[in-house]
This record gives sequence, C-alpha cells and structure tokens, in this order.
Amino acid sequence: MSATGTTERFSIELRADPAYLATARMFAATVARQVGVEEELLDDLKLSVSEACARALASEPNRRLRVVAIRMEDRLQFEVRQGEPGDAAGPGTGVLAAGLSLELITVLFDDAEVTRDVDGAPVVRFSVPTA
Amino acid sequence: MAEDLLLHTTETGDWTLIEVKGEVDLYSAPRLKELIGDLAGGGRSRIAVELEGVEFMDSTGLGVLIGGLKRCREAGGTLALVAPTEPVRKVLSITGLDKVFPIHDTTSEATAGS
Repeated sequence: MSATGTTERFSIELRADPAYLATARMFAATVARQVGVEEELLDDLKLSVSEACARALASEPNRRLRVVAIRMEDRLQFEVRQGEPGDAAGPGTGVLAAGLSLELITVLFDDAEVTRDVDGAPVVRFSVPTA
Repeated sequence: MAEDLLLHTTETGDWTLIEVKGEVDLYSAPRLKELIGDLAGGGRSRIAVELEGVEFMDSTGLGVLIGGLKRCREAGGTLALVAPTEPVRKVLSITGLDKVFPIHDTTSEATAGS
C-alpha cells in the first residue's frame, strides 16, 4: 500500500507458449476496463502487452511469462517479466523474431522502459492513465 | 488461449485473395507465412490479403506481410492489403508500412491493377 493511496495488483502467469499471448492481451484489457482506462487506449495496450510478451519469449523461451498490472492513483502500470522456469513452448509454435517489439511499445507509451529484475531478467514496464 | 486464425483463399484470374479472420500474432502468424510462401512459390505471386476480419496484428504479423511482399515482388507480382481495420491501420502507420504496401478499401480495387 503506497503512502499516497491504495495500490492494487493484478497478475497472471502463463506458460512460455505463444498460444497464450491472446490470454495475456485479454487479461490486460479486462483489468484496464475494470479500473476505468479509456476504451480508445485498449488497442495500444493489448498490442504493447503482446509485444512485450513476445519479446520475453524470444529472449528466454524456457521461462514462464508473468504480466502484472499495478493500479496506482491515476495510472495503471503494466510489467511484463519472466516467471519461473517452466514448460518450453510446444512443438510447431515457432518463435519468430520480435525485433520491432520494443520500438512499437515506446512509440505507443512515452514512459515505456526496459529494466532488469533482481536476477537479471528483463522487465518491460509502461503505464496508461485511468479515468 | 489463442483461437484459430481462419484463412480462406479464392483465385480470380492472376490474383489470389486471402481472407484472414482472427488475431495475427506470434502464435498464428506462421500459418499465414506458410500460406503466402506456398502461393508465391507455386506461381501465384499476385496476392491480396483481406484484413477486414483482423482486429489484432502485432509485429510478427507485419513481418510476415513484409516477407510476403518481398517474395511476391521477386516473383514478378505484388502483395496488396485490403480493408485493414483501425488497429491494423494504426500499426501500419506507426511503422511507416502504410507507405510500403498497396492498401485498398475493396478487393475489386486491389485486383484491378496489373
């Protein structure tokens, strides 16, 4: 709980499988709607979450995906990070290069950044305003 | 979990129309890539990709379309986009690819060109 108000956290952990990117997008959109993010921002949000997840899969296909949404006073912050080691992507899913991912996210969200977790794993972070 | 991407092809003269329905992302894009590759490699190098039913496309999808355009051009043809939805138009615009692809509102417009 922050000093200035209530902070809520929503999170989902998914298998390291591109088939679950749609689930990550749905999670992000559902949380965003629930906390009052404007509808016109949802397409950008889904794209950014999906790109961040694809980037995580490309860099470390053997770690599960974790998407965290943190409700702050006037913003909803998303973090896409790698979770625990888990089942690798199934056969035939094919991880294609996601070279444009970070570029797209930074164009859509001014505060987008990539940092490192305590264990050195990359974390993609960006936020959207809430109503 | 991801729903299946629906791909339907129709041949009209020199052109092949691919109707795409669903979400094009890291998971589903390989199927579209394979289809475009098979068509271009099999002599069907004038391809119109109809995107009216695509409400989401990520950079992997863009990469597939770029690769497809390149293959078609190398084979003497082209790859046009038809009726992209607003989310797809936006990602095309952000990446500047709206200036690279022929983009049309209808299939008739797309296939009218030689």
